[in-house]
Amino acid sequence: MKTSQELTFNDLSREEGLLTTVDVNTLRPMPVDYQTFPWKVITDEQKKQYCCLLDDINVLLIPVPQTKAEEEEIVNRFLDGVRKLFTPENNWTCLAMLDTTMDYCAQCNSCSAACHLYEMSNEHEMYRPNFRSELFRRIYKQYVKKEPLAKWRYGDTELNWKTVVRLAELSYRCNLCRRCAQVCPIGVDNGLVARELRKLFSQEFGWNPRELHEKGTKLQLEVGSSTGMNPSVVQETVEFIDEDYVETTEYEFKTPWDVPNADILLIHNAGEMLAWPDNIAAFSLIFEAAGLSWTLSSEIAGYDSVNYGVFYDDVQAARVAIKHAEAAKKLGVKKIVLGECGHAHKALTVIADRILPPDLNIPRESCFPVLRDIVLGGRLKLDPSRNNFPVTLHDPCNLVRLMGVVKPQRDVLHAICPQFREMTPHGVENYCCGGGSGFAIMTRNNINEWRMNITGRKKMEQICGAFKDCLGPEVKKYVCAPCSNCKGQIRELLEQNNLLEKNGMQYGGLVELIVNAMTDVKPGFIKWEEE
Amino acid sequence: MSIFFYCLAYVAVIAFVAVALMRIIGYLKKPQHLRWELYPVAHEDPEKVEYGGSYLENTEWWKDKYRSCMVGALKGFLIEALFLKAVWEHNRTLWVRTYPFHIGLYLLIGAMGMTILSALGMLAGADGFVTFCTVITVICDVFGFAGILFGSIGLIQRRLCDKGLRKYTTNEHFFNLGLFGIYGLFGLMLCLGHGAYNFALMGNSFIYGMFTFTAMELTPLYVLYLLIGFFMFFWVPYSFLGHLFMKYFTWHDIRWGDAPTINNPKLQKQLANNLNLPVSWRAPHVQGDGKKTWAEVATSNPEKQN
Repeated sequence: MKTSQELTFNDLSREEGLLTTVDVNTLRPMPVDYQTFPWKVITDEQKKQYCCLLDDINVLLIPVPQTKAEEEEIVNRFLDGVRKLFTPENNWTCLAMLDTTMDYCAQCNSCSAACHLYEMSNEHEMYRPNFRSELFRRIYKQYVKKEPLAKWRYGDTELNWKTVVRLAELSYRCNLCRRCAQVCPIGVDNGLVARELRKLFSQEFGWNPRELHEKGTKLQLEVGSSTGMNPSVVQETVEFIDEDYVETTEYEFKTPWDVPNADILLIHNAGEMLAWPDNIAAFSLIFEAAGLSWTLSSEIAGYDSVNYGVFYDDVQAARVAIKHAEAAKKLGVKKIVLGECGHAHKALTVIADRILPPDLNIPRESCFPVLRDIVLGGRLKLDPSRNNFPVTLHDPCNLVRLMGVVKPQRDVLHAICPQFREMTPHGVENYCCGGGSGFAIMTRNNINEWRMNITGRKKMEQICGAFKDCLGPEVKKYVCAPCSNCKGQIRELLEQNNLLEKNGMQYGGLVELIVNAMTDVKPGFIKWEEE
Repeated sequence: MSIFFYCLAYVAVIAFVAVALMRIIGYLKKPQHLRWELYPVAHEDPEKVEYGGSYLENTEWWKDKYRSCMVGALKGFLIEALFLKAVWEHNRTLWVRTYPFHIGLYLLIGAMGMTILSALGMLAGADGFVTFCTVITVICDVFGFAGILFGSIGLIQRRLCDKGLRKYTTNEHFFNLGLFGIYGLFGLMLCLGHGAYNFALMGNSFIYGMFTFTAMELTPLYVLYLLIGFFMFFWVPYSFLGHLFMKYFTWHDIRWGDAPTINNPKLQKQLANNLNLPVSWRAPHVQGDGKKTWAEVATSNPEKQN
């Protein structure tokens, strides 16, 4: 096994067994009582079945090749896939970005310091954003592009099945937050390389995390939602949420379904319906109270804004986006409004913008400008003193750095939360929650430990920094995370460390804070740990 | 012999233009890509640029005309290009080395421009103009050569001494930096040997000779200096140093490429073409056969059919 300092590009093809590890006992301590989670030992059975070759984490579950021919097939298929990545036919979506990233990186490593994984893993070489990119770049130039004097110019890089398998796994050691790309002086994008590799392995080999593919996009396209809820189940669930929250809030509202020609089709991340029904209820309550013309859709995928395709596969991303647009078209709505889900925002507003044909390119809008207009336009009776506790805001990368939706949610918070304070840094310079690019829904094979130890560590440090004047259980504090995936990750960070109780920390979305401040609603919409 | 070097000079200029054009056209010929912007986007509304906001913050943004503020984009790009702002903010130890290098390079490009103007002035018999241009050339030359020499040495030192950077430093990095360093050194030696003003006049005469097809006598050091210069004319656009001009596209077209497709028929047409491209990815959920188009693949589910 190689240490961070020893690790070289050719070790990926040479080393037997696990390539490297991060010593969790040496990680930076936190300002609050925060555990380290030891890696679970990989069993002999797991090693026999799957390629456990990179580190303690195993996202892809790639079967171990049994024969020399199978090993060769992996390499040949990989090279075929790389060729396809660089053809306009197979990769028109990202070829321009990938090509420039391959050709113009100056290897200045400015990107390293921007990466929360690199920083919080004690600067482990494997997590340098450029490590996987440079390995891929060298393989591409030596074996596919066959540049003159490539071996002399870039170093002789060995390639065998272990390199391929490790590179595949390495493409899942990144949150795709693209903070590294934001600091690049040239415009090179290492986050893109991680995604392009994921895409290659998914679209050529069918290697992808089961949570994103089998239980994610495939399920969504077949049943209607990655939660497994079909249209009738989802309607029953929301009906139940309505009843429950009418009783709790003492405010009459009913969520409308399939209203033809409504102004707005609201699409939630359906995971909210199961994990955070208060978010669903809060949206319905606000939209009804504001008198909007709106509806939910019971079409396949029309009620679940999730699009995990953006994390790993262009084909699946396109298929899901088309389903979303078709649901809106069928209802004849004027626009689609996306609920509190960052990746869904980016997938349908930005990515799908250059996928959908004109007849399906129905205008899409973030919920945050809509909520800002409602709150600042005086369409609700609000009492900010109901939110008189420290509140900080987590910026979902997809929404902020990758879409530029920064201010509307802040305008709302400034209006209704007297003790609102920012994290450092925030806005477009924010740090990922650590669950980005699909990891928030994965727990197996040490992924949970990885999210707690490394990927989420920076966010936890930021949260503690924002509340540094009121740490401790006596002051209730609220982390506003207006994104379903981020919320899931922050829930785990707080719950697994018992910080809800020990530090009085609560988490939730933006709409919950709005309803909590509504004077027409029974006080106490936000529930605290002791309640 | 001098004529041979003049021929090489013509070849070098042609090579630079050809390779740079090849790179740029190669980029422009690629299909319209997905939106992949990163905020802040410099051509946005100046108020929004301050904090990284976008038009997507506006309710019903598609009802407004898409605006791209040219002044903002130019300002953003110039600040980045002239001051290497991103390196200053995120990699200060590198900036103290790479900034003199880049400024040196810009000054030498400026010196070349002034030398060309001087030669044109000579053709026109405008002596005063020639003297003016030559004086500016002298300043650009001296600071330019010093900048790339100091910068190259500093960058080589950092690549050798910084363990993190050493692993990512290839033979090509040392070759490039060495080449620029030697070029700067020879330039400074020529300035010292002939006097900076006379050296600038030599440049004027050389370019004048290129315009008029008349050769001047060249000293051995000047020949070496020219040879390296000619090679760089070809090498800069060919190698990763081509970011000198490709950065325009990585920033303007990709990082700041936020143009929406709605209300944009030209973009819609380009995207319609993309959807007709054939797919050959082999995974079970794609089953591209090289004939099925993106539109067909995105609206079907081969796994369901099987």
